[in-house]
Amino acid sequence: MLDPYVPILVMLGVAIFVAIFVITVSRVLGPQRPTRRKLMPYESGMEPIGPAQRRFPVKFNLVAMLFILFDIEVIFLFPYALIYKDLGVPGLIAMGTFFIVLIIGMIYEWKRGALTWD
Amino acid sequence: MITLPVIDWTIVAQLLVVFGGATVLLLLDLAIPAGRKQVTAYLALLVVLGAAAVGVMHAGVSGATFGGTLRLDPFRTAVGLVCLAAAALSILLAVTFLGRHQIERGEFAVLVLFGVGGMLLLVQAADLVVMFLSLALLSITLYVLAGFALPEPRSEEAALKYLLTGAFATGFLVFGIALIYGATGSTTLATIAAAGPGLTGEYRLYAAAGLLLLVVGLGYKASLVPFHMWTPDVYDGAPTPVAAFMSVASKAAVLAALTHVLLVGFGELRALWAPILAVVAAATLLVGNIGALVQQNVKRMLAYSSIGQAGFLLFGPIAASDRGIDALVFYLAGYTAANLAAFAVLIALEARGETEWSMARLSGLWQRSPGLTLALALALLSLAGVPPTAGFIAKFAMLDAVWQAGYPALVVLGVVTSAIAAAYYLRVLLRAAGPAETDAPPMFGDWPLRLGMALAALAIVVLGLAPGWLLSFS
Amino acid sequence: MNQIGFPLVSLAIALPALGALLVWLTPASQTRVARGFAMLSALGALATAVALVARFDASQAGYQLVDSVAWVAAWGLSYTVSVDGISLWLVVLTTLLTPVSLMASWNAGGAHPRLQQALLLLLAGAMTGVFVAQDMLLFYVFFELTLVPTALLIGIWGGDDRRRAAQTFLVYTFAGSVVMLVGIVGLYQAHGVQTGIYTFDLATVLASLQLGAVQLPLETERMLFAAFLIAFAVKLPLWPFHSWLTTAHTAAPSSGVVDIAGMVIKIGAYGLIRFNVQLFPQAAAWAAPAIGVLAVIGVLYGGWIAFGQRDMKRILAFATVSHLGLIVLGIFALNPQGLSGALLQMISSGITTGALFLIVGMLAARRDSRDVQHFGGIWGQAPFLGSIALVMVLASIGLPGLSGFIGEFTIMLGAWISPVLGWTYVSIAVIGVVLAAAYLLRMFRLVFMGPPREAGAPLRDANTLESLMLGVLLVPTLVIGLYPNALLLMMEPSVQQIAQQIGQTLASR
Repeated sequence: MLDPYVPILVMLGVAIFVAIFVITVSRVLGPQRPTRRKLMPYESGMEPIGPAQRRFPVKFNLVAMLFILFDIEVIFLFPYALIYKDLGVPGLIAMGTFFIVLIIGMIYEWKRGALTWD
Repeated sequence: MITLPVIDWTIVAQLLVVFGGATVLLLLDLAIPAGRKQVTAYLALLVVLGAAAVGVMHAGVSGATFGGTLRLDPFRTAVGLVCLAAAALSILLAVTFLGRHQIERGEFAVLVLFGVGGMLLLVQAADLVVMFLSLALLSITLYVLAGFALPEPRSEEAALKYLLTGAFATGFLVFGIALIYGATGSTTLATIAAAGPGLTGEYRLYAAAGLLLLVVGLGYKASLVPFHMWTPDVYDGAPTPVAAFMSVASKAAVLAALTHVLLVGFGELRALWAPILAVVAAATLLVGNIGALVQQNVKRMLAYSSIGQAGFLLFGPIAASDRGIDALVFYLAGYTAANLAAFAVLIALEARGETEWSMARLSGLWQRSPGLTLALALALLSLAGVPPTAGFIAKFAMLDAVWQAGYPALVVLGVVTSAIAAAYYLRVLLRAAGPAETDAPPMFGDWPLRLGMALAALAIVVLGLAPGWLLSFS
Repeated sequence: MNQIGFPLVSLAIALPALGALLVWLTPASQTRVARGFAMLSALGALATAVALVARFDASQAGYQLVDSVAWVAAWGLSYTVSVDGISLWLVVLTTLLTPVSLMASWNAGGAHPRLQQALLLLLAGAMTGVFVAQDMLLFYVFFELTLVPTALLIGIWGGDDRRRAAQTFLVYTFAGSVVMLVGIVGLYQAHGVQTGIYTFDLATVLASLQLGAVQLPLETERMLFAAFLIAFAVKLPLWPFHSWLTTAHTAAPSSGVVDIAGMVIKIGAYGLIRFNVQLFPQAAAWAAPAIGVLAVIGVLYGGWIAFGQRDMKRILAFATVSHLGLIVLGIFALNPQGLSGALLQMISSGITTGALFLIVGMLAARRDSRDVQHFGGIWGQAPFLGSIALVMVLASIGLPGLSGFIGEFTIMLGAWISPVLGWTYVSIAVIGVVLAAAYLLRMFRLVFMGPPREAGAPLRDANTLESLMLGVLLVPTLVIGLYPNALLLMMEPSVQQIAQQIGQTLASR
């Protein structure tokens, strides 16, 4: 039953093998003379400042989440756009209801101040 | 031209009332100034009562709509009414609690409405996807509610724990649904049941594995052992009215869904799941009740006791008979009333900043408030299954049903764990009747709280003395 | 309704419950009103019980004065209460002891009098319910209902160890009685499966079992028998389940309020007759020798331990264990003599031991001690108390002419001629009876006789209330002793019927 998927499995195996093989070969055969400069993240010579995980305001998260929410809901418009003629008036009512709910959510977050930056 | 499925509005009327009410209330609440948020709660109460009225009118109605993904029958209506009653009582218990704890926000009542809407949908779902959707809806509202006492670290911890375990459980659920869909080609329970006997070989295996994963996912929500670990922490950390709501309403809805999945979708595989479920029920009874026995914190004790009660609730699907279904509904109703009454007493004694609910705080209660003690006594006696309370009839109905289904060992185990349960429930009661051991905690007795408590206590007595009308509904 | 068209039996249950409600609702300041309500309802129940005796047809064996209302029709569960020769006198005993325990409560004073009286009345109502319920589940409901008031009475007004004692009491008896629930479920299902009629009605189930409409496999019958036996053996308590009883009596309030009420917790013995013996005669005959051994051990053990005690309440508690052993021996003789002897002994020891508990309570209140060594020679100061105590002690050890004799004698007789027990049981149990004489007379001698103790202040004799209480208990002691037929005649048909059925079953075996 899963026969069509066997090539994918083989492909996966090949990919893993090649990656491991290449790294191992270069490690075993290649000369290794590390210097401090070579071990730095940027070989240009620039000293890194601070840790990689920087703290940033949670407000970004909030906006990102709201964006994803509305973005995903908009996805429903694509299939609707293709068949809205077939669905007719009932379809319009259904989509309308969906958007009213969406707009109510929008009003709610706006009024609650989720969109104000400061 | 694509024809949209015809919608039977009588069947969705209850859901429309709840979700429509919740949505409108979300907007209305914006206009209600802070400090007057009780208005929102009372409006939400009206919505719940309206939905309950629709539910009462649904008595005897059976049918399906949305292409058979939503169903209504007496069992679903009854469990839905239990959820609505739990929501109404929880709102009553919470109204003044929130203000007292300075966490009063209009969203509370709205979230309870969305939560109970999710529960109704879960109960009425006859399709795995709808079940998943409604479970997500009710879970998300409960995550938020668990963290409602926001600056309080314990509440945040509870919310996060609940979220993480809940998300984990959802994974199982989705995987299970996918396997079942793969095996049977459908997510609708009736179609799955029809496809069942034709399954052969590996497809049968996939369907069985999918069912087990589904049980795991739902088991988390119903806090069945071994998926119960989150329960004590979450109940302990969440605001008390939220813990009360979670412990009864979501359990009722999830148990109903589990019953539908098992009996409607996989009735044919009963030989497979019934023994597994029996073992789970036994483990749940033992772990819940023995865990409760060693607790010194009343809220944690109630959490463990609710695990133990979940074990008893499983007897309903295990019995897989009309008697079992009747017993399940009655048990849910009795358990809801008793647990809410017990939590109501805690709420009446909980001032702001009191997070450690040591048992000593209940000591000497009856000298200060015979009324509260009476409510507590009724609640605990009912949870322990002492007649003439609802809990006794409920336990008896369950024992009778599983005995009939051929599980006398479960009957004996249920009885033994009831005896263990009696020890810890009555220990609390004896302390409440005994002398005060600590400084008396403040007492709150505003009318919504009193009303909620009185209604719950009344339900315990009425269901205990005149159980007939609820026992033979189906 | 029933043949007299009036729910007389239900009234005997409802009156105390109503009284409890009224007492609870009375304002705390109105002590006299509360007392009035309490006593009125208790006396009303007593009057109802007397009316029951008057209306009772002694020539008939079956249930009489039946009140029946469907409770959960779908289950075949009904509220059915009635009396027969076995339950009649136990109802009378309950309703007789209730006013006495109320008076004891007034006499002892103590905190929260309203609650105490309300609980005593609730206990009385539940107890009456146990004796008259003719529906298995209803019986269980009343059986459990007796637990909570008793536990609260011990837990609120008891001595130092009260919480542990109340907890022990609850856990033991609740654990025991839920096992009975399994038995009830099993019997109900077996009856339903085999006859198609799902019912809890005791008379119907009994008839089905006797007529063979329901055939229980030997194993099943023994299992069900064991389920009921465990519940009642714990409740009685039968040795070795007795430890909760002595703990409870020791921790219960000194005044004897609870002890006297608890005297009626002879519901274990009643249950043994009603369920174990009546429903499962085969299994009863099979288990009788073993249970007889436990009973005899209880008789000896209780007597032996009582002999070594100094605390008067502990002496009486172990005496109770000993008495109950004898009662169980009588029941499992499985013949009319044994059964009626056991019934008589239940009533008699309830009255005499109850009275002794009250006297101990009165003495303890005067000296603030229950140790026999703190008393001595008080006959001269309290001759009335002394003489009543002497009568009760003599009645308790079975002096002919007093209530204890006839019960003990018939039990011995029954056990001797019983096909399942025999003379060996009797000859060993008799040692226990001798022991009873020894420890009770020793207690009496140490407390009332000998030279007065200098340490104690002069001791007041009984006041009016106390005399009244003890007087109420003295009358039946004498009546039963002199004219036991008053009771026996009414028991006779019912006891004969049970014994006859057992005989048939055993003969057909």
